[in-house]
Amino acid sequence: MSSIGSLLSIARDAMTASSLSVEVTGQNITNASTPGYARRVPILESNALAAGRGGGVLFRGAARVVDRFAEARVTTETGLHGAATARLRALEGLEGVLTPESGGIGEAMAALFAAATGLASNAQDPTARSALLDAAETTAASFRSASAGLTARRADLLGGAQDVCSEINERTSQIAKLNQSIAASEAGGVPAPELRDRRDVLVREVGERVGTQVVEEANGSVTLLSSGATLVQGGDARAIAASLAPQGTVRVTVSKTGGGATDVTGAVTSGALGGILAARDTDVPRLASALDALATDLASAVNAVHQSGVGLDGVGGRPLFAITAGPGGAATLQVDASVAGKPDRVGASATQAGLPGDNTVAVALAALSHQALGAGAPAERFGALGASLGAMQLQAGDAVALRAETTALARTQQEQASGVSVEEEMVNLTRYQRAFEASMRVLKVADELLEGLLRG
Amino acid sequence: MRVTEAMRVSSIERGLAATSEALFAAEGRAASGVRVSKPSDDPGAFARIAGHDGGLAKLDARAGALSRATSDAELAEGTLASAGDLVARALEVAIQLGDGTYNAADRAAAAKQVTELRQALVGLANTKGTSGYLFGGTASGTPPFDPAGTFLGNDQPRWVEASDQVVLRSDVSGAAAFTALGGRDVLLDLENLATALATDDVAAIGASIGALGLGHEQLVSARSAAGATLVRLGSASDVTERAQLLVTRARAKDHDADAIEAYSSLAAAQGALSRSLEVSHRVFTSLTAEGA
Repeated sequence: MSSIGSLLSIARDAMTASSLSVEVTGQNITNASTPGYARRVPILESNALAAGRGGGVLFRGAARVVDRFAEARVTTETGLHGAATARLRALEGLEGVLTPESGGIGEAMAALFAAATGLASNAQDPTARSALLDAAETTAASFRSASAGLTARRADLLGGAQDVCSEINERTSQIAKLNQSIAASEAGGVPAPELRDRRDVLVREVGERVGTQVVEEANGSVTLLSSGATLVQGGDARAIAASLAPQGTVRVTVSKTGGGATDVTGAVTSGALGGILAARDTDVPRLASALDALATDLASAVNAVHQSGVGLDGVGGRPLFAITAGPGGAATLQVDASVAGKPDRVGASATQAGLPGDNTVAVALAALSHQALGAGAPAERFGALGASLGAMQLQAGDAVALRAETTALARTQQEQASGVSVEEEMVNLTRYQRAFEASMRVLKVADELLEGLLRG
Repeated sequence: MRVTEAMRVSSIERGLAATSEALFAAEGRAASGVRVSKPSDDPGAFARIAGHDGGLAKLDARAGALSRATSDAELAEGTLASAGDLVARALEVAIQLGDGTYNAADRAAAAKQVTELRQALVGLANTKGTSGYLFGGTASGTPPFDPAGTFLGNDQPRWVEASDQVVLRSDVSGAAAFTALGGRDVLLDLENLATALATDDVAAIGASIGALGLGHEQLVSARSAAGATLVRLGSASDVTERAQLLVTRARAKDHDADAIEAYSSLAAAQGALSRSLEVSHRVFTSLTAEGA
């Protein structure tokens, strides 16, 4: 009797194990497209067969299949991809600022020199003199507009960095709470795969925003490290913040548990935050510096020639442009107050005696268009500025493409371990169904044996 | 290797995104005919285009300046030709009336004619062009000769840019054409002739003939100088026009899309997207079948 009873128990346990395995498989299939879901595999253990008792199979739960190395690679690669993408986005709008298809600095400078040529054709003509002043004002305005555009972009990017920090803090707070829940659940012997799925998604989202390293602790919680500081440890999340440093760059800090904050700016190179910092505090200042240099060189060259001329009023030595040289110089470029709105003060003639028809200085002004201002003629300098921006964008675009590939490879590696293959699950479904049917057959045999005994 | 649904979908997404982006770019090039419209299209080409744009603006302005200078030089040449005719006419009068067969009344009438010729010459010497009075030098804002024939201008040149390194004198020297700076004060010589005719001074009339002959040569010489200026301006205009053509071609090479290449790329990109969509359709169909 006892052996037939064991057979009944074996059949029961096997049917239970098969049934629960089908449930696990069903769970996998239904979550095949759920972001962050790691496939589960049933943990089946054989029960030791002893005389008159035991034997059969036991369902010990469902294990979450995760490759920690692949997960770490995904976090790293998504961070680098996030940095490249954020940098590209930051640079993309700048072409409209520095090199608009019409009405930009290049056109304005060309019009200025064309106006000087026009003035040389008739140095005493009030219309030609006004046209030169108008062209000078348009040139100055185009520099100021480009400079303002770069400044505005830097302000936008500071706001963007602060938004990213808020998003990181929101997620690190959730990770800290999940750490506590997972540790508590697993300490009580109850696995928490769903909570781990949610936490892994959040960790990846943090990684997209700032470079992150993940260390799993023995109690199931994770410690998140970023840029040399700890973002999350157990149930404690530390706030990351972006602010404006005195020198105008972005300062990134991570709060300390006991108060105060650690400056991690120099170490933030990955994630969207790293990309924003690279664009805001390296790329844009480089462009702004080139713009300032062009504005300063142009104003200096034009003024040097114009000051050698005399106006129709017989007074010479007046500059055409006013500029405050140095960083931000382009934003200060304007027509000098001594000539603004006063066409008769344009210095087209070299001498008082040559007034009003002497056009020597006007010809010299026009000739500046093909004379080198430092590294090249004005149009060449403007072209180099645009090319520098274009090269930055192409480089950023190439980095995005490269990181998209490496991220896809890392995700493939991760998917190979944790992703759900419906074909595989369909095979498993059939396998567990067959196992259930076989167990039913064992139960039927046991039942027939028992019935035979009762009749016999 | 385990192949999951997410891997398949991700692969399709990336493939579609890449082919769609390539098609978008190809459509833009084919529709606009422009290969480089912003620096990131081709930084090197953008820099060259910017240089070409600056050069073209400069050449356009130079062509305009040369055209105006040419117009003034043509006007100056024609004016000097007319001035030469006037002096030649006065010279004829002097030769004719220097003959002893004419009486005082004839010479008084001729004096009136010469005075009118002189007034006409003052008018010609005060001719105005596109950039002020032609013969006043840099004092181009006011008539260079007053009614008495006094020269109020100067002999300072006005310039026009012929090329990046060369400037040409664009005006014709009125001082050299009409005043003693060129050898003879033509207006004074005419005045002297008129006085000699009015006073019936045959000797003075005879003396005027030589002076007017020199004055006529002086105007012919000035006209030749104007002609030479026109030739130089014409050459500069030709060079400028040629340069405009070359720079325009060079710019187009960098800026414009090659039509055949643009349409080939468009067709290739359309084909790639079409194939990518077909593959996507098949993959999703198989995924749906597996799910069923």
